[in-house]
Amino acid sequence: MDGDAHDHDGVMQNGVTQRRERFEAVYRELYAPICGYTLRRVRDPEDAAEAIAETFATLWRRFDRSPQGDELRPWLFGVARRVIANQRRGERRRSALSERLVANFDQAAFDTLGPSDDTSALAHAFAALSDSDRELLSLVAWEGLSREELAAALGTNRAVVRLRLHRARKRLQEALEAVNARPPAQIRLTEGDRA
Amino acid sequence: MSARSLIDSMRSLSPVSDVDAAAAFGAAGREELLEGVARLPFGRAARPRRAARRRRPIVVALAVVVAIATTAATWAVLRAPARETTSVQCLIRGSDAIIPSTSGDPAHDCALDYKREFGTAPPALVAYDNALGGVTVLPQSATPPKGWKPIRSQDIALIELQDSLDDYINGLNSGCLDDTAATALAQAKLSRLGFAGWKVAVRSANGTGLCTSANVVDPATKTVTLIPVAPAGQATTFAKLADKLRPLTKSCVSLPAAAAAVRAAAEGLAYQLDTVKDNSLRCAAIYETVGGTIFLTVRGPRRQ
Repeated sequence: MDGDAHDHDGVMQNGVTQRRERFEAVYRELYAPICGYTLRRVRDPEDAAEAIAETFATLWRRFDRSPQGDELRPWLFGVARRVIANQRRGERRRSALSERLVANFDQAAFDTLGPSDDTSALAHAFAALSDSDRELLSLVAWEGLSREELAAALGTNRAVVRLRLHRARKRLQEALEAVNARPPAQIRLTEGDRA
Repeated sequence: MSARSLIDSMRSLSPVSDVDAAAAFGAAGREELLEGVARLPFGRAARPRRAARRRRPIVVALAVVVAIATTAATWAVLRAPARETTSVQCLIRGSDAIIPSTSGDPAHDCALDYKREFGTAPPALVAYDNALGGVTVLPQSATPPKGWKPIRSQDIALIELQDSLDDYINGLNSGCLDDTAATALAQAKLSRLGFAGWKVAVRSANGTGLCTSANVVDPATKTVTLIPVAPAGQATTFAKLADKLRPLTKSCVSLPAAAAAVRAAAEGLAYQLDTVKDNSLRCAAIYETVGGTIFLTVRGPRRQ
């Protein structure tokens, strides 16, 4: 009986170890993309740290039931999107997990990054879009998601994504035309392009 | 400009690249988050909760649990009777969570956790010795697997010992202790809580700058094993809160007074407060442990 128990322990421990190893591999692959996704949308480092920590905590808890392979990355963007949306709805909290990131955050280095005062027509047009359109277009432009991945990230199907993307691009074009003194007749937003 | 080049142009609006964003939190931040996340219990999608601390492990056979719920948690290793465990598995209406024990009444702890999680009262619950060295709580209406026996309580002294060791206020996490200091502290905790005949061992570790803060409490061998690990940051919110709470632990107050003082000290932070009435104590004891969030436990007499 004792031997059985020890065998069982070994099996379970192996399972836990393997789970940790699989998670760690995914974590190392997706840590930078999730940091990028989050810091492109959340400028406050503490809020960003909280969102990143919560996103990976969700992945850890759901790891055995989360999508695998190519579907995992967009799914995790979807998790991050919902976490950030909850923050914006006022559901802010400071967890001990995020402290680990906040304690190491390099504010000075971060402040020197990225275009902070982009005054281009495109920037103005993009800023004029709804949150929903901006998120959709930035998932394509910044995260490089395909239509299939967009569908996974947004929890919808490819047809809906195609329609929403078409409309978002159209609205961006209209906003750009409104911003530009000279309407850019050369801008053609076609559905043939990879999303 | 084609749609493709429009998208290309939009890329220039990106405030920060993935690489720069990750670098902003440093390699240390990345590794510390990984360690923190991998210590969380798993099995349920829910808000962050206390990590499965280094408690005497338990095994639940996956197949048995699947017979009860659609998901199952994987616990660790069994050694001693279920009563001498310091965590409990709550399997209620498809929700599956392993939580640290608090009150010594597993069904009560699961009910409280369920209510916190879902905002509604759970059905009537029953705690079982799951025949694999652990305690599992099921709805009264569920039929337990063969061999499971109802269990009323867990060893409250062991639960308090674990809290006391993990504590950030006065326990092994209150500072970066070396092996000698940590051993003395653990022996003092064992003595204060009445654990006669127990010993403290230190697991050897390689590396410099380690803090002896991790521990394994094993009732079967009556041993507390201390483990040196890489230090956590000292400027964290939970370390600062521990600094604020430490003076409170020097005074002798009732449970309600201590709980009120803890709430005031932790105002503005995300935390979970558990109060446990224990009229055998003269003064309230306050413990701060950390997992997915800050967990504050106050044990003490209703009145002084």
